[in-house]
Amino acid sequence: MSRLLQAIAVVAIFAVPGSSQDDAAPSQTDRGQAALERWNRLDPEQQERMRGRFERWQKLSVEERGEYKRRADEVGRARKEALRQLRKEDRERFETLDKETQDGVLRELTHLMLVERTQRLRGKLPPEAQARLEGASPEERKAILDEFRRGDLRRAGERALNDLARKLGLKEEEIEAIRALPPKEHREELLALQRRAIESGVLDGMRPKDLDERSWEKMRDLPTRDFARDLYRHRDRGDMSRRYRKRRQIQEMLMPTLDELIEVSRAPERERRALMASLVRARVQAQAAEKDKLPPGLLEEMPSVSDHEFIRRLRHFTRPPRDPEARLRRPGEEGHPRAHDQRPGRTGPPPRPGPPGGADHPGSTDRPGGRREREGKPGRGADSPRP
Amino acid sequence: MKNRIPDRCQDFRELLERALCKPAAQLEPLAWHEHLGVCPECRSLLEEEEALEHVLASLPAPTLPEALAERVLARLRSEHAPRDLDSLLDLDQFEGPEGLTERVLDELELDRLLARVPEPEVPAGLSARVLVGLGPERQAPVARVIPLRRLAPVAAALVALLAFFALRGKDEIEPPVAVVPVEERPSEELLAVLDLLGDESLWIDDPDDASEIDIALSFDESDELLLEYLAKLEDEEEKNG
Repeated sequence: MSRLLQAIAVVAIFAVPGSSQDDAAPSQTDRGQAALERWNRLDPEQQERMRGRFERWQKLSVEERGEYKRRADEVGRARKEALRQLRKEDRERFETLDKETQDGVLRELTHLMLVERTQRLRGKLPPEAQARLEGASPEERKAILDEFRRGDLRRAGERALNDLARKLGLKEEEIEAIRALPPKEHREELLALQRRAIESGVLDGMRPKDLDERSWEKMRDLPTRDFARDLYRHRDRGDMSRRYRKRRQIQEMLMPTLDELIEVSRAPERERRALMASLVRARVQAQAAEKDKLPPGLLEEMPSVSDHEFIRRLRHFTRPPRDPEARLRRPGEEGHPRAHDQRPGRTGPPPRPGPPGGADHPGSTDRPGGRREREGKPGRGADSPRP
Repeated sequence: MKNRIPDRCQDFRELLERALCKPAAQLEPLAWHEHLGVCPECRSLLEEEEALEHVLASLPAPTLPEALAERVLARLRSEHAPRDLDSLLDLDQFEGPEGLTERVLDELELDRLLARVPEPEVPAGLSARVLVGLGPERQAPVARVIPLRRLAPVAAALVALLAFFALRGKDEIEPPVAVVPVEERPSEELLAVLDLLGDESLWIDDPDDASEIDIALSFDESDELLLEYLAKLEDEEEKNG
């Protein structure tokens, strides 16, 4: 009997990991088959485009390919974020859509999440980095961001570790163990420490104040990276809802409705972005006229600009000004963005270095070495982490 | 619309049709076709054709009884005027219309000239797009598969015609080749990164559109955390002079 039990135990030990692995991840053959089926669903034009991209892919170095994969992970996380941000009623409607429409809606929403996040992160970059990005080509921008990530941000890693470890009361050997981790694991550990610090309450003011208990509990169920992503988004929007309601209103107006997303998802690929801009603009203009939601005079000064430029200029108003006390600035006043085609680097030789503070913030008195004000910078708001 | 056959089935059945049209049908290579992995209908169609070919191949070659030809000729001669029959059988005495040989040779010369005209370049993917466009109008492929047996008289006539021209003329005639577009299967390497290639956000060419999202693609959550600490660090450095 005992031998029988031993035999069963041995079989169970060897069988369970195998079967659970099979359940967890599709085999390589399944993935290949799924990819082939996906390929077969593409129309000839799309297949041609994929072949063109594949040629570009083959010319990339190993590091460049790694960077593309890292970016693809970011898109994946933005997609999950987009799904989480759907309101309950929209989510229910979304579930009833056919797969193709769902994909189209999700693609546009993901893009909007990335646009919003880029705006937020740009505001957190030091002015020097912002100025360098202005007017740079896409490849140059990529290089600048990569350099910044590997240089300045790595320097901040030690500061973050010391701060979080002190707040959480980590022992010296624990800190050393984290310090010895490879860069990727090191960053994962920093995120985990930050989460622990927020959840345990030792990092004051980091929990978004406009989040009810149920939403907070829901957020705590998320994996660490998703938790961090939602946290920053909520903090950003929370800030605006409290101090800059007008800006928050504009941000809400710029978010497309589910109906608009559905309509756009069914449009030919090349026309989607233009159609989206056109739909949002029409709605914003109608709403703004009814409820006086936009800064006075703003609409009157933009009748001839393209839909894309219209949205871009309005989006500028959703960012908090450098000076927290500054009022909304109207076009033509100091601090208002220039027309897109008049910005440095858009036409003719880029007039570098740009105006103080970069083209997005002309007229700013920022200068290297000077006292800087930064959008979304911690320590400015009441809910920022305190050392 | 109800009877519409999927494009992949159309492609496979065209290949099958071509294989069956050859004098010795070679169906074995088709058994490895990728499409069969996902289409039971085409798999079963191929099996049926294979079974039929197997049966036909197993039959003994027909042999005629000795002296049958002589008996048939004797019978025919008894029923028809002997001169007519003999003139038909004697090909050497065939008298065609005047100038036929020259006209045939002229036509052959024209064919040879046409053969030298370079093939027009077809845009990549055109054939597949045309097939997709014609999809609804195309007939059910099952009906288009012509068994070899039905083609036998046509093939025999064609062979006889070719043999006739080969005997009469000096020019070689290349048999017409039907060109059926075959979609090129993507490489395994391409399929392995297809998700990545299909991610529109990663392949934006317009600089303005790319700059709208590139920071979010470059920085992850840990970078955002470090950005905040970098700001603190710079503040501290500033305070400390």
